[in-house]
Amino acid sequence: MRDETTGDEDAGFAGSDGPRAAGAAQAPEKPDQDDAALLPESEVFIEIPADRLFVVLARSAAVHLGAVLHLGITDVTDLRLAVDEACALFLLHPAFPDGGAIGLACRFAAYRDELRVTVRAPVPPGFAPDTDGIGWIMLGALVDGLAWERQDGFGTVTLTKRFERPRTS
Amino acid sequence: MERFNVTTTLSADRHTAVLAIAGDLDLGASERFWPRLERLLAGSSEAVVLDATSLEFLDSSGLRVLLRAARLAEGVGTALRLVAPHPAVRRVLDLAGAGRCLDVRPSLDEALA
Repeated sequence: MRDETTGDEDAGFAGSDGPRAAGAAQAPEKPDQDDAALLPESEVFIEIPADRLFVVLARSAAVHLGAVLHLGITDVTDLRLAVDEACALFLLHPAFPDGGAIGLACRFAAYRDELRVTVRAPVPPGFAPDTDGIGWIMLGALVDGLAWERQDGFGTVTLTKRFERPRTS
Repeated sequence: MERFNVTTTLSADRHTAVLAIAGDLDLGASERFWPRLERLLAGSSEAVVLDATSLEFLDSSGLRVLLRAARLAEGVGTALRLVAPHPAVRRVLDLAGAGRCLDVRPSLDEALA
């Protein structure tokens, strides 16, 4: 589990695995073999209002994606809970702005051996998740990789869930 | 459509209040669930059973409510038992080590015995 909290001084948004995630989102037309290995096999983006009542949509997306990826029921259950907890890190934080005017951007990127989920939202200066709270601790137990980053006024939680065996389809 | 429902009944001997919770106890439901649970625990029941047999999802916000209820029950001398057979709910309880704080039973019959 990683906890990478950074300031806002760096330009440009990238997840904790920045270059890889950025490469995946902006794939060249003809990637070479090395680049191709960094590209997700499938990607899903969903943006929900920053409102507790809409987190069920992110959970539903996680469940559906887990089914599409042929994950086992335990992995799907854990993924659903992890996405919920990642959203809750923002929505239940006392410093997170109220109201649905802003959104939580959830990105699911499936690679051959792992699924990478990011939840991203604008956050006020100094915002950081409660890493001593039960939500963060549960998240750490649910996923294989957990990271937090703040950059350019946005906070990003990155979850990495490795598959027990390479997917067959 | 409500994704979280609560039904309150009394046991046959009328000594135990049974609060059946169903659906998703998540961050959208936990905040409004607490006042109802608090009122029930502050009442005169000797025991309260939270029947989560039909609860399909629990997250840390819902768990916080359950732990808060356990503390309140202990403070007012009410026995609080939780029926939680659903694997997704048990998973959260296990991850958080909540079994140390909550009296968890596998079935309603055992909770009322």
